[in-house]
Amino acid sequence: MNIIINGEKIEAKQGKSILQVAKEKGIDIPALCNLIEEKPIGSCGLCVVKIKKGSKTYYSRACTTKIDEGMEIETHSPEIEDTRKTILEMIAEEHKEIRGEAKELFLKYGIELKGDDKKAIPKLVENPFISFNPEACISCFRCIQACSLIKENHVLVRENRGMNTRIVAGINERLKDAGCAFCGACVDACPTGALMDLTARVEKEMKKITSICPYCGVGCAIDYYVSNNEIVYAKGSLRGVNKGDDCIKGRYGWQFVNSEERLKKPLIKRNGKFEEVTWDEALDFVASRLREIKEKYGADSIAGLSSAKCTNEENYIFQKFMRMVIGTNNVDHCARLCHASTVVGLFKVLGSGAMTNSLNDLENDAELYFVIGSNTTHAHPVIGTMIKRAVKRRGARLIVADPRDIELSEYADVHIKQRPGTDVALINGMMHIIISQGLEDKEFIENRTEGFEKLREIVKKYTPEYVEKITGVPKEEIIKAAVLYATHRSAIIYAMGITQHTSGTANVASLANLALLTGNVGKRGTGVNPLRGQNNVQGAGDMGALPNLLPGYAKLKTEKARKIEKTWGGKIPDNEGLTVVEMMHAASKGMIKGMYIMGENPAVSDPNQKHVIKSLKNLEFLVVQDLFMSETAQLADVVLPAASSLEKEGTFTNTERRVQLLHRVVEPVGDTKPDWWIIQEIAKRMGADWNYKCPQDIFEEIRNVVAQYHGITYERLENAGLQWPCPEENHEGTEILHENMFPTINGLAKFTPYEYEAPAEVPDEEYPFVLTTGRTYEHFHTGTLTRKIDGFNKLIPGAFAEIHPEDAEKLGISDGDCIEVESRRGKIKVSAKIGGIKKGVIFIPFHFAESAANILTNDALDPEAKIPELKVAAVKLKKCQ
Amino acid sequence: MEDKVVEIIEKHRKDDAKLLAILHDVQDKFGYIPEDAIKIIARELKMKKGEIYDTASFYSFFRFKPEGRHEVLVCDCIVCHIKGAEDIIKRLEDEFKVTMGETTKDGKYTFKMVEGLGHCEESPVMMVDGKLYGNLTPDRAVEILRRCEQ
Amino acid sequence: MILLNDAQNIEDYLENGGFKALRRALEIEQDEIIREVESAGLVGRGGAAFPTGLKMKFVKNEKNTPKYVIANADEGEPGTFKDRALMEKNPYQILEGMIISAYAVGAKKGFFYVRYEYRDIAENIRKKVKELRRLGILGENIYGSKFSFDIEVVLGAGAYICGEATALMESIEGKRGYPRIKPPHSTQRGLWGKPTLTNNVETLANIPVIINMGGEKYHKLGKEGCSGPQLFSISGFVKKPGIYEYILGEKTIGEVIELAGGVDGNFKGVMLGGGASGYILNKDYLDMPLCFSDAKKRGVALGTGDIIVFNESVRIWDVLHNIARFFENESCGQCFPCRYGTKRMREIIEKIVNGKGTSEDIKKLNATARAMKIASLCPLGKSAMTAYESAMKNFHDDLMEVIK
Repeated sequence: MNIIINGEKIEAKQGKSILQVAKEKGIDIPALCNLIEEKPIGSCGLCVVKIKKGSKTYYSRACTTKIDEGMEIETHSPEIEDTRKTILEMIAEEHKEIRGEAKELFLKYGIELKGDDKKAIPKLVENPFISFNPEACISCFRCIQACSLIKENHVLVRENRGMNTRIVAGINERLKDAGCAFCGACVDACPTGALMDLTARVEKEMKKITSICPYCGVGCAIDYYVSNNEIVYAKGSLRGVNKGDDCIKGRYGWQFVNSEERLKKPLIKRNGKFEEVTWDEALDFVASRLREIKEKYGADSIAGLSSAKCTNEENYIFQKFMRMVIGTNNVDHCARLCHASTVVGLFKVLGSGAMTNSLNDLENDAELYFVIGSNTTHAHPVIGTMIKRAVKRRGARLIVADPRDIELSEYADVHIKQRPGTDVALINGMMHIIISQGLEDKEFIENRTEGFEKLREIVKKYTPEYVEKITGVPKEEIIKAAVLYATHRSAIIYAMGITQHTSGTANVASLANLALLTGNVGKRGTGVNPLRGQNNVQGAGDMGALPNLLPGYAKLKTEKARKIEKTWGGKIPDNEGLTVVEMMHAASKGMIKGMYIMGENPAVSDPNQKHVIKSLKNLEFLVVQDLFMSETAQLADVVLPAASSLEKEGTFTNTERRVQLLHRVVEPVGDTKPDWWIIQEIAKRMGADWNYKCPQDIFEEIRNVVAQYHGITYERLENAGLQWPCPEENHEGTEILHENMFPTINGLAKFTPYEYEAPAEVPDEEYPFVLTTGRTYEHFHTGTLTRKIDGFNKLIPGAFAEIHPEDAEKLGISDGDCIEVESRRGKIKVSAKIGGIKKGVIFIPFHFAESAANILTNDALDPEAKIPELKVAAVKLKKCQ
Repeated sequence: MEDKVVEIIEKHRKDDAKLLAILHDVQDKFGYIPEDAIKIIARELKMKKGEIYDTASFYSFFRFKPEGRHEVLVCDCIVCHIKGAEDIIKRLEDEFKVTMGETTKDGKYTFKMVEGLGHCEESPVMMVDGKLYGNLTPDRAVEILRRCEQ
Repeated sequence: MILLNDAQNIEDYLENGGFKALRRALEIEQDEIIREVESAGLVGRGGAAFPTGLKMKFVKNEKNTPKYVIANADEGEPGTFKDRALMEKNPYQILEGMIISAYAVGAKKGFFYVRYEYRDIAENIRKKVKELRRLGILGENIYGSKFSFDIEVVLGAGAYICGEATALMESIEGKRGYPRIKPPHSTQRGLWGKPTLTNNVETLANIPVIINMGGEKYHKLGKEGCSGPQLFSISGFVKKPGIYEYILGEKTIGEVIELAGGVDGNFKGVMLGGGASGYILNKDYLDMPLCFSDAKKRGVALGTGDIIVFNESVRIWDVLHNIARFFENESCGQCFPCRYGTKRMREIIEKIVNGKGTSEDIKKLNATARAMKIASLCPLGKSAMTAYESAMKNFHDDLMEVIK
C-alpha cells in the first residue's frame, strides 16, 4: 500500500495503523494512552494527524486510523502541533506531579505542570506493594487496559465520567478486596508515574539481570533491576516462557533476599542453643558426625532430603553424595509429596512421567482445557492467566473439576464439584460416557495403544447414575463435560488435587487413559499436563534425587546404572532407599539415626506433623541447610546458611521440561554459600575426591549421565532454555512428547484402568467433614520465603478454613470466627472464611506453622507412589471456646 | 438481599439488554445500589464486580448510597436558565438549607440540579419523584414541596 | 397533521388507518420499501440529517446476522422536547415505523431506548409493546406473515452522550456510554458487533407515512433540499411555547416564532438546531426558511429542530456559561480533548461572566475550541464550541464589550 507521510512516499502493509507505520519510519508522534497496538482506545488525542484522501481533508487519530491507498498524511503541521500543545496545557493545568514517559513529553513541548487540585485518594492505595499518586494520574486508562485486556483481571476500572473519571479498584475498594493479583501490569503500563512499585526509586546506575523466579514450576524469567548489589524492583521478562507476565510472587517475592532473618553464619547447637561458628568448624563437625553414624549404624541409617528449590547441579551432587559418599539410596525430596504419583502413573500409561505438552502450544492450540485438582490462577498464576486469556479472547472452552469455587470456575463452561477423593470414579464415568456415545478416537486406540478392552470392561459399570452417587456431581454435568472433552482438541491440566491421594497413581493413570481414549496425546494443544509445584521439582527428579531411580530415571541394578557407576567411579547401592514419609517412620523407630536436609521444611510440609517432629527429634544427628531458621532447622544440630537462587548460578527445569539458566542477581548475603559448594565441602571432608569449580562443571557431568540432557550446554541455554529430551547439541529440544511413539518397549501407550477406591479416611459421625489442603495465591509452600515479606503477611496474615455457608450456619460460625479443627492426629485453631466450597468440605492452606494444616492431615500412602493423602482427612470443627 | 437481587436478575435473565434494567430494579428496591448487590449481580452474570461498577458509576441517576425519601430534580438547562431557574434553585437552597446534590437533614429530600427534563414549554420546571411541575416561580416551588409534606 | 396526531390508544390509531402501512409493507419486497424511503428523501430527525433510506440499504446489504434495529428516544438536547410529545401523543406510529424498518433490513430484534427522564413514557411504550404482541403485531409471524420481530424497551440512566448512536449501543450492551471509534460504522458492526439500524423516533414515525402515500408523493412535501413534515420545539421567550409541526421549507424562523405567539418581550436572538450544540443567531436569520439546504447555505444546521427565543433580558455569556457547564457535566471523559476542554471552557467563561475576562482568555478559548474540534473523538466534543463560535460571529460586539 502506498501512502505519503510528510511528503515522503512510503510503502507499507495493509492493516497497519498510521501510528504503527510512522513509528517504523522513525517519525515520532506523541501518544499517551496507547498500550496495545491492535486495540487502540484513542483517548488522549495527541496522535491526531491531518489526512488528505481524494477530495477530503480531515483530522484523525494515527492510532485508530488504518492506512489506506493514496493517503497523504501530515503528522506535524502547525495546527496539529498547536492542538497537541493545547491538550498538554490542559492536562498540565490539572496535574502537577507527572513523572516518567509523560513528563518528557511536557518538557519537549515546553509546558510547565501547575495543577494544584488536591485530588481525592481512591481506596486502592491501601495495599502493600503498589503506590498510587492521584496528582499524577491523568486517567489515560493504560492501567485499565493492562488489567483487563492483557491480564483479564478486570480489577482496575473507571469511576464516574468526564473530568471526574478516575481509576479505582473494584467498587472503589482496597486492591486486595477487589481481587487484585498484584501482577504489576498496571505499574508497567503507567506513563505518568501515578502507579509505581513501592520499592522502586530512581537510581543513576541500574543494572537489569534476568534470572528464573524462585517460586513455582512455571519457571518465569524475571528481570531484576539492581543497584548497588540490591534489588530495586522486578518484573516479568519478555524473554521467558512467561512472555512478560508475572505474578505477585515473581514480582514482589524477591524481598525475602534482604530479610533480617536470613541465616548468615553456620550454627552449631550446644547445650540446646545455637552458636555461630566458622564454616570450617561447621563442615568438619558435620563430616565427622556423619562418618561416626555411618561407622556405628551403617550407611542406611542416614537419610537425605534433597530439594526441589535447589538447582539441578545441587540436586545432582546431593544424591551423588548420598549414594557415593554416604553409600545409601535413602535420598528423596518433596516431589514425593506432590508428584510422585505423576511419575508412577504417567510412566505406567505413557512411558514417561513428565508434562506431555508445552505452555506455548497449550496457549495457542488447545480448544479446551480440562483443569482438575489445580487452582491454577493461585498456584501457577501465569498459566492461570494464559487459560483466562484463551477463554476470553479466542473462545477456548473450559471444564473445571474442583470442590472449591476457584477463580477459574468463573470462566468455565462446566464446573464439577466432586467430593474429594472420588476422581477415579469421575474420570471412569467420563470414559463410560465417551465410549457409550461412540466418541472415542478409534484410529488412535488401534494404532497407538494397547489394553483398550480391559479399560472398556472396567469403566462399564461407571454409569452416570453410579458416578453421581459416588462423586455427588449431577450426572448432566458429567455428561456435558465428557462430551465437551471428547469433541475438542483438549488438554488436561492437573496438580496436587489429583496427586495427593492414596489413589494418586490411579487418578493420574485414569487421566492419561482419558487422553488416550480420545486421541488427545502427542498433538499440539492436548496432552496430560501436571503442573509442578516448585521451581525445580522436574529437575530434582531428573537428577535422581529419588530413592529408587538414578539420574535420568535410570533404574537401580540395570545396565544404565552400571554406566553411571563407571562415570562416578564406584558402586551404587543395590537396594531401594526410603521415601520421605518412610524416612520419618524409620526415624521414629530409631532405624534412621542421621539426616541431612537441604532446603526443605518437612516439619511443616509433611503430613501428620506431630509424628514428623517426634521423628526428627528422635535423630542422633540432624543437619539442615537453609536460608532461614525454618521449623525444621530449629530441630537441627547444625544449621548451614545457604545462598538463595537469586545469589547463585545453575539451572532449573520447569514444569514443561525446560532447562533454564540462572544468573546471579546479587552477591550472597553474609557468609552464605551456594548449596553445591557446601555439599562438596562435606564430601571432601568425608574423603571424596571432588573438584567441581562451578555449577557448569557439574552440569557437564550431568549431560554425560542424563541422556535427556545430553545436547544441552550452558551456552545453548542463554536464550530461553531448552526442553528435554534434547539428545544432541544440534537438537532443538522437544516441545511435545509422544508425537509419533511412546517411550515404551513396543512404542505403544498402555491403558491402565483402575477401580474407584474410597480415600483412606472418610467422614463419619465423629469426624463429619472432609479437610482438603492447598496453597493461597499470596503465600508459598511452608511460607519459609513468603512469610518473611511484610507485604505478603499483610495480605494474608494467617491460616483460615474455608467453609460452606450452610455448614457454617449449622455450627453457628460467622466469617472471621476462631474455629477449632480436629482430626484423629491433632487439632489447630484457624479463622473461619465462609465461601464457595462444596458442602461438607473445608479447605485450609498449609503455609502457616503456627496453625499447621499438616497437624491434621493423614500420612496414609498411595501404595505405588508412596505419596501421602494430603488432600483428604476426616475432621470435626467447632467454635473456639 | 441475596434473594431479592437474584429474583430481579432472574426477571431479566432473558433480556438482551439486562445490566441497566437490573440496576434500575435494584435501585428501585433498595433506594440505591448496595455494594453487596453489585457482588451478587457480578456472580450471577459471570462478570467482575468492577466491570459492573465501571458501567453503573457512569450514569448520573445511579446512586451508591442511600438518599432522601423524595428526589427533587430542578432543571437548569438553557431554557429554564433564561426563564429564572437560578432564582428557584437559590430559593430552594435557602429554604431547605442544602446545596444542590445534598439531602436535607431530616432525610426527606435529595435535591439535584439537572439539565434537560424535556418539558421546555413549561420552563422553568422541576420533577419530584417523577412528577413534573412547570411554570415555576421560587414561591411556587417551595409551596409544592411544603404541600407534599402534608 | 401527519406526525403529531393524537392516537394514544390502539382503537384511535387503528381507526385512523394505523398499521395499514405495515400490512402493506409485509406484502412487498424489502428492497421496495427501502426504495420508497429513498425516493421520499427522508433524512434523520435526530440531528445529523443522514439519508434514512441509505442507512437502511447499508444494513439490508450486510450478510452478517442477526441484525438489530434501535429506536433512539434518548432526547437530551436542552430545548428539544418533540420526541417526548410524539411518544406521548402518537406512540403507535413510531412502533409501526420501527417494525417496517426491521422488516426492510431483516432484523428480528429491536431496542427502544428511552432516556431516564422519560421513565413514564418508557413504561407506556413497554405496555404498548405488550399490547402489540397480544394483537400479533409484534412477535412471531406478524400478521400471519413469515416475519417475526420483537422489541425490548431499554431505560437509560442519565447520560446525554447516549444519544450518540454508538454510545447508545454500548449502553444497551451494559457498558458505560462511550462512543465507539469509527470505522467500522454501526450499520456494519453495531450492537454486539452486528449490523444495526438506528433511527430517531420522529424519523421512524415518518416511515408509515411514506409507505402509505408513496415515496414520490412524500418527496413533494416541502421543497428542494428538504421534504416531509418536521416537529419544531419552540421555547424560551415566546408567548405560546410548544411543539409545532410544519412541512419543511414552508416557514421561516421568524414566521414560526410569530405562529408561537410572537416574542415575549423584545427580540434579541435565537438558538437553533439542538440545544447545547446549536447555533446562536441574531435577527439576520429570521428570514431563513426552515430547510436543511437553506441552513447549510447560511453555515448553520436545523439539528433536532428546536428554537429557543431570547429576549432582551438574556445575556449571551450567561447562556454560553450554561452550555459550557452542560458539556462539562455530560462529557463522557473518554477522550482528553473533550474531557479537559469542556472543563477549561467552562472555567474561562465563568471568569468572563464574573467580569474578569481578558483578551488572553478569548485567545485561550479559541485555541481550546480548535483543539477540541480537531482532536475530539466524537460529535459531542467537536460541537461543544458551536454555540460559542456562532455567538462570537453574530454577537461579537456584545460579547467583547465585557472583555478587558
